[in-house]
Amino acid sequence: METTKDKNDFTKILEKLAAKALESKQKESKKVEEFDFHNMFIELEKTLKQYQNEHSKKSSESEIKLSELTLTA
Amino acid sequence: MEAGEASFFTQNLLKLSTFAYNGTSIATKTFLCSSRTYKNYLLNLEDINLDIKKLFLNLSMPKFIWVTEIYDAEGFINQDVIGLVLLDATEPKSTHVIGAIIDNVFIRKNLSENISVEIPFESIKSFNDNLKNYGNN
Repeated sequence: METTKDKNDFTKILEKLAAKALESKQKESKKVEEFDFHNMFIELEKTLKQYQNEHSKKSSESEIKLSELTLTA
Repeated sequence: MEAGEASFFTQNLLKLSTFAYNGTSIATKTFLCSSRTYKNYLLNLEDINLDIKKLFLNLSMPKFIWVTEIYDAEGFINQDVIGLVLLDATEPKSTHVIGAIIDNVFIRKNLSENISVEIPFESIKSFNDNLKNYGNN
């Protein structure tokens, strides 16, 4: 269970690390600002749902085949 | 989340992260791990920035997680991990990115948080403790 203290610690550490990265001014320092993470996650959820649908269809088909085999046997 | 989904999700995450690893061939390794074992491994890592270690140890994790280690394809043999993706293995319906480092960008995505921050990360030694005692009994 995440407590408020844990969350504060986590945020503080992350802020410290972000400040360090900013300080060192890495060559692609604007990559986070320019990249659309929100849309990336929407796209990810969409493709995962497609994968899950295809996968559940395939497994139900194989279940049907298995039940046919059982009946034949 | 089952193994196929975890692998599919991570591969897609890396594919869609167009800001990362441009021009670098990468290799990945995905495995299931208990968060306790994984945190223990992080705790004992020596060649890692202390704040990165603290950051991951402070992450709230479910009992089981999917871990994907990202390697530079050329450096794969040295087992130097240049990125990480940790996914919730216990949540069947939604996908929670517990924490990820992709090309020096820390990403966290769940119902209440959506974080993407650039942080300094070099590399860490690969996790090799899964099923360590398997077959020894």
